[in-house]
Amino acid sequence: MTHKDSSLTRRRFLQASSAVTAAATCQIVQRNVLGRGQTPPSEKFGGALIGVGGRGPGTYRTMCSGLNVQQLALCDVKFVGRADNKKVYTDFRRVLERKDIDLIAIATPPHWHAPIAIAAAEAGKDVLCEKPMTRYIAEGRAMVDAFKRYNQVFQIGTFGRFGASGNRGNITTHKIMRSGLLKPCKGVHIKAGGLKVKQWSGDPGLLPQPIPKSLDWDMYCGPAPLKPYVSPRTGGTHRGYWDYEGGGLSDMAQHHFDPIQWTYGKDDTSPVSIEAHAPPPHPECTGMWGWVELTYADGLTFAMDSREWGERYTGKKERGVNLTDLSPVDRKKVEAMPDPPKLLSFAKAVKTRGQAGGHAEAAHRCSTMLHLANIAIRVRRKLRYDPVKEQIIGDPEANRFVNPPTRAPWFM
Amino acid sequence: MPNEKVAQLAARFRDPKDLKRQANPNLQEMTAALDGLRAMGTEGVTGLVDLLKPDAEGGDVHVRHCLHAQAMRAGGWPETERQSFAKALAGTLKPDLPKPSKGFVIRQLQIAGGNEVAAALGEWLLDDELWEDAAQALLAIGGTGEQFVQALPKAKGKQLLTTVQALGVLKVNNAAEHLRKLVTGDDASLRQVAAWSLAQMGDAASAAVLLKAADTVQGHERDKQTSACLQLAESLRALGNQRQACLIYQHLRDTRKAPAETHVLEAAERGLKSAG
Repeated sequence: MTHKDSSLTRRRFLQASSAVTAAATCQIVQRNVLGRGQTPPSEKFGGALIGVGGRGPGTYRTMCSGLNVQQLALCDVKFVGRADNKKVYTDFRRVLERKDIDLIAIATPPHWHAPIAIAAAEAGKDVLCEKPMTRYIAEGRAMVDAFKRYNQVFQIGTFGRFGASGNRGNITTHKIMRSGLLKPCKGVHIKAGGLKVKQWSGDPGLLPQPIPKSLDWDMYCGPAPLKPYVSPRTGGTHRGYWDYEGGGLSDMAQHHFDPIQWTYGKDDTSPVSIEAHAPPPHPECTGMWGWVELTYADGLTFAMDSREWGERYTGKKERGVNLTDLSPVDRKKVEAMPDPPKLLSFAKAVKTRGQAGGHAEAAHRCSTMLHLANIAIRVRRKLRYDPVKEQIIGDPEANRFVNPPTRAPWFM
Repeated sequence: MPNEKVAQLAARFRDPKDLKRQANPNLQEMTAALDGLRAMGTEGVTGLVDLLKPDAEGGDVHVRHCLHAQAMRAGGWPETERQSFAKALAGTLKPDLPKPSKGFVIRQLQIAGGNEVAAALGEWLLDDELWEDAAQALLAIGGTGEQFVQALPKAKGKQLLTTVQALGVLKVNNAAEHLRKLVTGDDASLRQVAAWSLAQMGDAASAAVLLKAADTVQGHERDKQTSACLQLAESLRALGNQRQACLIYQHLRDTRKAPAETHVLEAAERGLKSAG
């Protein structure tokens, strides 16, 4: 350790002592030499929930799992008239300024996830963020960059991969895919139904309504376009508006595909070809669609079949990936590979300063899959995607949905 | 007078609320309507705009749906046809078109417009109601820095904020000198947006200004200004200016000693290591 004691923060301490037992940790750390809350790591963390409705309390509880967290702040744009700026806030920026807060749970609508999460990383906080991670692809890259820049912990609010990564069959599939020996990959995974397409379709054509006195509507819209207030744009039904989310597909498919993406070893890349069957899109509201097919560079195919409109998906048949797909020589190579490291829970990642299992890059790649699906649904053209540059190829108009402008001052 | 043929075609787009309940939008009907309107050329565009109604009045859901769907399709048309569509759409932005309808038209140009409508959109950058729609359309189109540079001297308040952010998104380096003055101005939001924009531009001459700004503020603004410094260093590295990037990292490493800023100090150390 090259720094003076005064700079021995919780973070520095955790890095230095990750191999030391928790008991020893408690004995040697004094509160007054630690920063950011000045409490030893095995004791208490300061926590805040931003976006308290709907999933908020559940997200906060999940964030606290395995940690001793004192809730210090609640923040929501609907707290106008109730905020005391001590425990209850309307402006997340005031929450992030508090040095006694270490952990942030974000459960706002998705159009706010990136600006808040990035600001939290800039303020040195760790974040558990509700899914879907983002509203657009470029937001996800900005989040990944920010959490990497500051080495803060990020965990997406879906956890299926923790179970999937403990399953022997999934581990084998993961190893086959990560070995790079399976070319071409004939694997096909189809998610049929369960994507709440009709349920989370928007409600178009409503006339503007008076803004509730308790709601800061301008702040609610934030980086999204400032539109006339109608109540379904808030309170859970926001999912049906392109300005804030991407319908049931965005809302549910990150749950479904997050563990599948891990199993098939695609946490660091994205599909290269996307095709959808859908009716002409509405400008404001998400709506019906039939199916989407997403294909990776190695041939692996994921498909979504809504079962709620139009033709059923018949492009390819479901097919797993097996050791028998490999030559005997390659099979032995895969069998000799070590198992992937166990995924870290958010709590463990916070304590050890490691990477959480649902880290920003993985969550971003899963979110990208959903956004590409929605772009294909909206433009109704077959898309080609460059997973390295994160750009749609040869279709500048479709590419505009990868990184739409945000309203000032909410830059990424 | 509304164009009857256009109105009949647009009527084949039923109210999506109805579609949602029935879960049965008729793809064949909608496609036929869009094909019919496409065959009408400019008339098929202006006729739809004529059918738009102000937000507070409603009753034009099917028209908006139809026009938007056509704008989405236009991106897949041959370039000359897409340009004709966009020019026809931009041509409706006349004084007699109500502002809310203009806003909707501009949002469709955000999807289907190109450089051929940039000048027309630029005229709305200083409009009290439409500046954000116009700015977002121009940003989506890209290569439209000239429109924002022209607006910069006259823009005030939120328009200025939007303009300054746009100049950063578009990396319009010849606006850097103007933006550097804003980093030390009285408006906190403007200071942060200007710093972020200069960071995106990779403007080496802004390093000292940004570092000073970051050193002299507290709270959320300090985090944002510091982030701008780190992003400027990354931009400079990407441009091959390792030396200037290292100076930024060294400054942050040497000044961010407080426990609450350890993450910044460490980010600067990692930056220095990466920059060699």
